[in-house]
Amino acid sequence: MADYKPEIYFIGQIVGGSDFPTDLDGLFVEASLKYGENWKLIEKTSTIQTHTSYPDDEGFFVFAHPFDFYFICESVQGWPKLNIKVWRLDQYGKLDNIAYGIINLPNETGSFDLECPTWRPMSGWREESYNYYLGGPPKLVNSDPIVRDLNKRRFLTSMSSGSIHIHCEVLMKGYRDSFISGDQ
Amino acid sequence: MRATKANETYQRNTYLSDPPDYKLDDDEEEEFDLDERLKEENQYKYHENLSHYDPKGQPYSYFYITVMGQIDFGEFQYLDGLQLHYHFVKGEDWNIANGTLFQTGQFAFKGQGRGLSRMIWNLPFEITFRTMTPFGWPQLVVYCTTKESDGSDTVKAFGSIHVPISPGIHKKIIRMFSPITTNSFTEFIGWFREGGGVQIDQPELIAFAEGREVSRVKAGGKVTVNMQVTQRNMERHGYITTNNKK
Repeated sequence: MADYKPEIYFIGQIVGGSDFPTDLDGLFVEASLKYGENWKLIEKTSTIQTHTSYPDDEGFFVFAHPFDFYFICESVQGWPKLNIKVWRLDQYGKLDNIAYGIINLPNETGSFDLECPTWRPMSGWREESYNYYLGGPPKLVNSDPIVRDLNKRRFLTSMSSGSIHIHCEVLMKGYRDSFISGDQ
Repeated sequence: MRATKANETYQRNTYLSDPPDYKLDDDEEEEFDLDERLKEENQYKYHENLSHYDPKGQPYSYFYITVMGQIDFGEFQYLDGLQLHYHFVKGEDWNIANGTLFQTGQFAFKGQGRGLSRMIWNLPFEITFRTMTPFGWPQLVVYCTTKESDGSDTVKAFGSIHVPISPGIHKKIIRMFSPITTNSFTEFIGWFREGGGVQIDQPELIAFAEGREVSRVKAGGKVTVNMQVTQRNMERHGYITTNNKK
């Protein structure tokens, strides 16, 4: 009898990243899903970690990490979002979290190329020169300000970073019967 | 199991649709109560599991518009270190079903490389409106502030757009403007700076058309917003918002 509940499939991949201020270091992306309490994810894992990629001549990093999310949706509120953390692996083997981003997954059927711009926190000249000489930008102690508690954002200062490119195909079922838009 | 011989003992199940030639023993007839059999038949037919749920038959009153997405980045040539605020402005007949009308983002600085021209806020929003009329369709007002050296906030740029009426993904670029404070000296020199530095109490008044006749603004800067609109019950109210004519 659950046939009337709208179901939605997000099928795609984290294609890559571009315009990051890392010269020849490797990057990888950790992405986790954030969704409302009325959404049910039919899958074991909701966290993705890509391989470490080194850039090409144009500064593009290729991840090509596929994902396939299947949700049963009981409410439009809490639409799934991807919470992205970009990590850097430098030539000395040190791992560092260098950027954050959040992007909403598409709400209509079709094929979409999404671009998620990312940012990193900034505090003062001391931390900036530490980052410049030693490589280690300031990070968030608590990742709440990204999406969980947006009221904390007003106390942050950030610096812009590169973009993560994501390709996503969306299939919807049962939305038309509930008169919810999106499935044309 | 059927009775083949009248005096044979057997395990019997009570079936309501026994064939007509089924014969009952005399002493077993008392076990059947006609009223009980009728009651059981009703329970079997009208049990909840069998009733058909049809979502199209559910009653409705409001239509719902959910607006979600992120305010991604701003491109300003002369300004840096701006804090973004957004505010949804709606008509009186609109209510909020879920979400917040306004929020403030972080102070963003331009980065290196391609990021040199963009200050990235990446501020997500999600709000659901509930209404019965499209009059007073919501607008998104965006304004950017900086912190002055004395710690106060001054508004540097404003912009506003309407929430799109068609559902789906929309990438919108809001063109921003700044109010100008002029005095005759700066006007003589011809010096208008981006970011007039005027303090305004209610930035959401930007969404309305009153009082604009006496103001002067300087245009500059763009803010890119990714807006996703989901609607519910609009066709039932008689509005067709997609190009797909069914």
